[in-house]
Amino acid sequence: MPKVKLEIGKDVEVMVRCVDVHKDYIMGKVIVHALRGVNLEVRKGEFMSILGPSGSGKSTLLNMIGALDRPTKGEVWIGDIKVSDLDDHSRAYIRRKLIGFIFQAYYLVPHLTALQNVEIPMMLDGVSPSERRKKAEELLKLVGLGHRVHHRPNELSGGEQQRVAIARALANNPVIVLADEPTGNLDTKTGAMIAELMKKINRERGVTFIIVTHDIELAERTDRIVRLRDGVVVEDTGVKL
Amino acid sequence: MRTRDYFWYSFTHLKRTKGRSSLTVLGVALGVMALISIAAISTGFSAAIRHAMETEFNVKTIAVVPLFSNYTLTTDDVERIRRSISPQIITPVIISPATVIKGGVMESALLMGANISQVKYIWPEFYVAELGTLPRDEEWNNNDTAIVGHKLAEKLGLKNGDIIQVLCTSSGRPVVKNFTVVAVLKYTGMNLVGIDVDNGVLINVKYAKVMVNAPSKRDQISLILILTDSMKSAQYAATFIENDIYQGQVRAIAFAAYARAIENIDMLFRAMLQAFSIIALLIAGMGVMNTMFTSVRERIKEIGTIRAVGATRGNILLTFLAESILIGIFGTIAGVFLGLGVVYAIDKSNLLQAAIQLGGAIYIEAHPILTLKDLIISAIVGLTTAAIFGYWPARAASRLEPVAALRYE
Repeated sequence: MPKVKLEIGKDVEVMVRCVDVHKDYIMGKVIVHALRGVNLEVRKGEFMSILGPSGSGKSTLLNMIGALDRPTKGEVWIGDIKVSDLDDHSRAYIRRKLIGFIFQAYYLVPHLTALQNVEIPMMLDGVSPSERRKKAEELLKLVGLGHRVHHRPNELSGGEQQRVAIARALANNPVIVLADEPTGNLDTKTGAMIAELMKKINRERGVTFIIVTHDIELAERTDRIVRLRDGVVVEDTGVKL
Repeated sequence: MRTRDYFWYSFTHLKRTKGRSSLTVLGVALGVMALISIAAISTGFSAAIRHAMETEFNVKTIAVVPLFSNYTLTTDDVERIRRSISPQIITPVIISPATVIKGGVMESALLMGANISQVKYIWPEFYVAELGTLPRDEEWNNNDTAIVGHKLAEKLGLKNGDIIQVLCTSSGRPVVKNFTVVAVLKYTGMNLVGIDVDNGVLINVKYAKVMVNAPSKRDQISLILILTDSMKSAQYAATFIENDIYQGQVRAIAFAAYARAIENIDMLFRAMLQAFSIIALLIAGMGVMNTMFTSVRERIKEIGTIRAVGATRGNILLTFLAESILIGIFGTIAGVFLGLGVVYAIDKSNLLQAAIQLGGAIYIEAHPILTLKDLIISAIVGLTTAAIFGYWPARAASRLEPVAALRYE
């Protein structure tokens, strides 16, 4: 257990806060400014999207919020924890305890079954095998895959794999789920089903969802759209009432 | 993350990559097998050497020979040494090149004049009758009887009861005498201090003196064999005879010196085998490292994913290390069984006995000896090698940045 405070206060209202976040990458001799001073606040329980074309910096921003990467300049807060200042070990703890990830290419572990994939975050957290198995079964039922628990990723369709990934993202009861192009590899109908599933989880469990996409249809299914272009926020619709 | 979960996770991956994993396990198994069989061969060989030194060589023995051609040993020297060191046995020996003739067939041989009972007492392993019986002292000393070595008997088709002619040269004149063969010796492979037992014809000292020595030098002898009560006494007595009694005019060869030489050969042999073991293990270790590096390369995205869902660098390191350890465990178990099989096969095939005849000087019948200690050490070394060589790939995996790993194509 890291020594710094890594628990979110109960009365936190703003779940994510980015303050003047910059991210530069050095590509050979060229410095690429992926983010150029992003300011963003996401409130607890929001179901929002970050929309932008390829190269706009939306995935980079998601990596900053998800404590996968550190900004070159600026601050990233999850609740009342300043994650941009944390060391590698503490950021791993934050990802395990507070954040769930959903990726475009699902990124399931190929040699594990659906059930075992969902168990991974709990396994990393030291949960007992019986307890995590029970929880994983519940989550797979929640995403409609109660009958496919023992199938490996290569035996599942794209939509099913993404549902397993959603179940995995929920395994440790995160406060935020970050989805990076979650419907990007799916057909329209399946994509819509996945979007509905995420919305349902948001409504029922109160988990904050931040979805990064370039798909306007998916973005429009969310309650708030933040448009990003060339590493800056160019539009924020605010939460639709 | 719980310890058992590291192994569970790694095991599921090994199951998915059965082909490659099996080959790596086989590599470790062969390394452990080599360790076990080499340890058993080495221990068996050493034990055989010790046995040979104690029984066949007889490390309590000294042979005294003149160091310069102008010095001659005589039967007086036997008495002189006997008075000085009071050995258990001291006996003169005359050796000379000779020709043995049987039924018109001639063969070169080594004539040896000696007291059979005393020589047999010194080298009981070498003087064993294959045909006939070794005579008692009174029969031996007063009769024209001969004992022939195994090879010589084979060449001339000799058996006990046969009459042979022995031809020698004394002061440039040929001397021929008939002897009755009373025994043919078993094969020994022994050739020390010029005594080629297998090609020898043994007669009593009295006749040997007449046949070999000039009339004016009848008491001349070739060497004196001495048996002391311990290896240490033999070494002490050899030095005493050389320096104090003869002031460097004779050479007193303590057979312990041969034993030491053989011990050195044994040590060299062990060192060589240990080097082979290390090479076998290094190859096995490199196999583990190669497999694990390949595994890391193939699983970069998986590493990124696991890191994204909360794994620390330590979790990744231990996960990959667990996989190497599992390979080590499976390889070691298989290697122990293979090793036991190889040791059993070597033992049954008598491979080791044929392999280590030391230039005909001594025939060593060695059997592999596997001790529990060697077995345990081999297993631990095999397992540790897999873990050590698996460490670098595991470390490389743990150093991957999650974002870079997820973006990896």
